[in-house]
Amino acid sequence: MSQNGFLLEIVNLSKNFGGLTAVSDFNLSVRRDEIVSIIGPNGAGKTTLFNLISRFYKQDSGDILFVSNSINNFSPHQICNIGIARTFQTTRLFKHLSVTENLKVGMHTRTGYRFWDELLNTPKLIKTERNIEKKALNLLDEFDLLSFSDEMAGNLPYGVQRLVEILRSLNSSPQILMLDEPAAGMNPQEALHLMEVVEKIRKKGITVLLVEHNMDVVMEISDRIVVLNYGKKIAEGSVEEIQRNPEVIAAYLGEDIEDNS
Amino acid sequence: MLKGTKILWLLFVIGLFFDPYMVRSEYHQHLLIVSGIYILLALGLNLIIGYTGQVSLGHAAFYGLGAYTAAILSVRFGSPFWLNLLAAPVVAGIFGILLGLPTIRLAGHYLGIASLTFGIIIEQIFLNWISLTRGPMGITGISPPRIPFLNFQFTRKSHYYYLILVITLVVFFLFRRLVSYRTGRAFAAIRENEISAKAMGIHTTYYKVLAFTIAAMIAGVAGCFFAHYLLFVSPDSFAFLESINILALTIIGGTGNILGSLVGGLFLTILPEYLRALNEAREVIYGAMLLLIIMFMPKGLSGFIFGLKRRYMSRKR
Repeated sequence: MSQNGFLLEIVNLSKNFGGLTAVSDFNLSVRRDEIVSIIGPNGAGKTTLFNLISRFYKQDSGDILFVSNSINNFSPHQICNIGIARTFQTTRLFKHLSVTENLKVGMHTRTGYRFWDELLNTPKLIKTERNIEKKALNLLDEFDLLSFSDEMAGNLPYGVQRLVEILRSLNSSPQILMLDEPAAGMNPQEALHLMEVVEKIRKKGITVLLVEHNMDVVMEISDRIVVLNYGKKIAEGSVEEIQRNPEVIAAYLGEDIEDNS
Repeated sequence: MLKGTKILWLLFVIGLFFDPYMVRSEYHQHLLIVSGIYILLALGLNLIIGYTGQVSLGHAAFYGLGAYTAAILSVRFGSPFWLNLLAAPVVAGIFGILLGLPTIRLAGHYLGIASLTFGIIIEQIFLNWISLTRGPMGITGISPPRIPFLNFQFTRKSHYYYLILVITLVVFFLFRRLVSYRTGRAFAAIRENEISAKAMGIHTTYYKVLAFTIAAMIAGVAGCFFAHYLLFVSPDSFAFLESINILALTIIGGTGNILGSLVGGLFLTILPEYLRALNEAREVIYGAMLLLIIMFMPKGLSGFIFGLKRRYMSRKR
């Protein structure tokens, strides 16, 4: 555990695309086992923030600390290894691989054997592969998706695809899981089930960072909500605080506060 | 089901070992030897295209680098085949890394153009670095393989047949292991979705360069065998058209599975030979057949075979 108890700290983070400010002077500290939701109108910079944390983008200024260590110089592929996993706004499954294979890829950084183990079929390889298989199937079983294990990921119903993508990331044993609009395109039942899934993930001791437009989901499961608008944090607090915040209401309903006052 | 497939493979391999006893034709053996070379080349390119989802239009360059490495080592230094069989893939592999590292950030068409250019540059080096390669005259006087201590020299076609058969089987075995576990899953992940692969912690640059390097090494092995089989190498054998030929038989055989490379290498070596009887019409019919295969078997011959198998399986159920 870090000295100050925060798992993820974002300090004065800014990112511009040309003249457009996507994220501006953003600060956020996330404790272990929290579910923190980031909401805001379209184009508010939520996904940009995720891409900055997962290092697909490099910030113009500011710092990102994970367990008190700066990850500014990390590449996207190194992020998973230190314990930050993410999903994407549009599903990015490995469509022509089976569900189990998808989950196995999630274990890439947790697979201990070397290249020559693979070529020489060493006992270490056989044992590790057996464990990988078992772990993937156990996870599918835990989330009631075992019946899909041999299905090609691309052939699954949309809602199941979204869940498999979450499980694939979860299978990398992250400390923090970032979900980018997991409920997008889900019907109400699927969204309801998603909430149970996120709750279950938190119970495993995994911190969840959530970007979501479905307010039912956000209000139901969040411990804390951060509101972004034009790349700036305009509010942060508990569900009740956010629901009462006039600036948030204005940003969502498109009202101009000064005109109303 | 898996067991049945395994038995079929085993019978096929046993059949291959007895083939020279059943068909006592040097011509037939020569065809199978050439097929073996093309199976290796297709297998390497399959790794790049089918397994990792990248593009390469210069595969003949690695084949040529292997062949020239073996030829030069053999003629200049009297280096034996077995040593060259190690040196050729190393040299080809180093060039694979040299091509891979700077171009790997390119995708699709751009990578295609870069690899094509690389192929042409290597061909030009074979043609113009006369002090090393003897240019268009080619290199002669390569010594055939021999087994030391036993004092056994490879002279007959059947000797070479067994040699390429064993080499191909070893490469097949290692290749299958390579694509089945962590490395294979990383290749597939890159093919399916590169951004997701990165988010899953896969060092995509490393694995793409690895795919190019291993493909180059396999081509290097094929080149070394080629040099010590024909005992002559010249730039013609590794020209741009040869890259396209390898690409065609990789695609037509079917990508993303081992069977495709096997079927592609065999079929496209043997088919044109059996069309020889047609004289002038041969090229036209060959071209038309390839076109028909691409049109009606978009997943290649192996995809077609898998389709038949699936249909048979579901009917049995």
